[in-house]
Amino acid sequence: MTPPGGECALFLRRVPAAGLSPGRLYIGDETCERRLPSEELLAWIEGECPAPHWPLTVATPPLTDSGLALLEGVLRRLSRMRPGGFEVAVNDLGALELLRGFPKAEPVCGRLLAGRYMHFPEFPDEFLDFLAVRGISRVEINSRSQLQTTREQLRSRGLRAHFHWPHMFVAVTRFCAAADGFAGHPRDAIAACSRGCERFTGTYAVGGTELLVCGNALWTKHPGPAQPPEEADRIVSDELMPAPPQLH
Amino acid sequence: MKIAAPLRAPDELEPLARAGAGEVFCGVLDLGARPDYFPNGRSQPSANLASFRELEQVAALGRARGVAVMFCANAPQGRVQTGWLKDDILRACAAGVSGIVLADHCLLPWAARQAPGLTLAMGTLSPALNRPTLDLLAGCGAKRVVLERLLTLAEIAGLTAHARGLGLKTEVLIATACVHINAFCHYHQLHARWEGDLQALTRGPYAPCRQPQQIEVWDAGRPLGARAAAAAQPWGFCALCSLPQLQEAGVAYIKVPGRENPIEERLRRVSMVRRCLLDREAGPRLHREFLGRDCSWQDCQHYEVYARRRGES
Repeated sequence: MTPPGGECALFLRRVPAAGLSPGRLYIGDETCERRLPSEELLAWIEGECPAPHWPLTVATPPLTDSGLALLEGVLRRLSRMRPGGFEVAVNDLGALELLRGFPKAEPVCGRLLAGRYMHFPEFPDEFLDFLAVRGISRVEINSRSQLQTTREQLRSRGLRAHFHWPHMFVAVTRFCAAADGFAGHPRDAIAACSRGCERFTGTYAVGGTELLVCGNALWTKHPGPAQPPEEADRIVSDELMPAPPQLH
Repeated sequence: MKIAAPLRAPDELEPLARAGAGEVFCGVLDLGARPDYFPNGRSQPSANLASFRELEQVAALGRARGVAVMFCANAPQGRVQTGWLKDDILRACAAGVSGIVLADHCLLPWAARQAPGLTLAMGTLSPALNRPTLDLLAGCGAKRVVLERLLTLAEIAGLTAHARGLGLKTEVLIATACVHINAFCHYHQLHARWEGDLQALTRGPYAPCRQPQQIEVWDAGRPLGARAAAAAQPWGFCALCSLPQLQEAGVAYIKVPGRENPIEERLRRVSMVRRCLLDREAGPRLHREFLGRDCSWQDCQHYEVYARRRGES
């Protein structure tokens, strides 16, 4: 699983039942502000985590002002818990602005932001300049082809590439089908959340490609080889939550 | 509050202005020159002007009629395509447009230097969901921001108040039919690839996510059975009843989307928004006219308006 010379990380979505041994932990969520790290998970990391020195990355979604306030609380707590620093993968420009007030938090460009260019072989120079100005040296990549075609461009700028495995992000909404749509009234989803994402998933196929409705987002498995790409500097192992049915 | 309407031919400016549009937005697409270059949010040639000569005509007509003309450069681009997009923006400036709609905030500083007198607007592909994003965009040179369409009215009001303090104007979409956050949606591009038909993106309206699919639903890994649903629920997303509140909140522009629609449909929508701005109670009646059915929770873009009305009745 570890790329040659690279790092292996585990996306931890709840307090684990058994022992873990990753090189790095990811917590939080890339698509829903209601799945920012829970109090329970933060307490576990602070008190019971078997190796409190494990490097930590907080994944963050597109955020409303309410979500930013929640994130601010998480960052404040982590700044105390991890005086040596931690990463924050941002998928929202407002979150990037917020990080200016948290010197212990190292910003990482999340794959929703970087993925806006995923259908092109190279990132625009203006985007990479922006990352440099913001002190960002790590970029999360959403597709294998984007990773392969941009790898040298990123290296030439001193940027490291992360890759989430095995799912590719497709789309995100605030009208969460998992919250209520599979079992109730979908249009209340912005206002209320039944945590249906912890139980329900949906699958369907388009042109032979299987899609996964998980949480408030659409995902699919990365096409191509069954192993993660070697070009990545970090592989983030993420089975999403709940564990989806096995796609072909 | 101004109505911003989509335009795709010079002779549409006058009827759109008469219907109530105070601003038009349009792009230029020439697939013959660069078949893989889609400089704005509409990849169909029929949804765009055919040349910068036409854009010049539109800009001249707009000046004569007192209608602002915004040039759409509102799709993210790769490295090479960004160079082409910058050329297009310079040509649009030379054509005399009133402003530029961008998708990539990274281009704002450059555009602000190149077009100091023009309105730089961030479009729907550069979503603003929170105050710090507005701070960042204003700091980069934006003068206007389209607020993410999935925000609630309270969120829109809060952001608009904050934007005012930054010298930013806000814009809100009046009708749309997608539940995904535009800026992060890869569904259309990927769907066309999965189907092996990338050209589908350049033909007419392409909205595969609104087609019902048989979705297998699982509860904690156990199958619950299949149900027909679309990835993006095909709601009408009518916001007519929200217009008075958007106006009170200080939203400066109402965007009528749909450059792919025929002129008759765009005129109908613009006219309906104008009528609703003149008559605060007209929403439900115009909704029936617009969608051919009564208001319902499926159709209401700002669900809180529907819920309040339901509670009152």
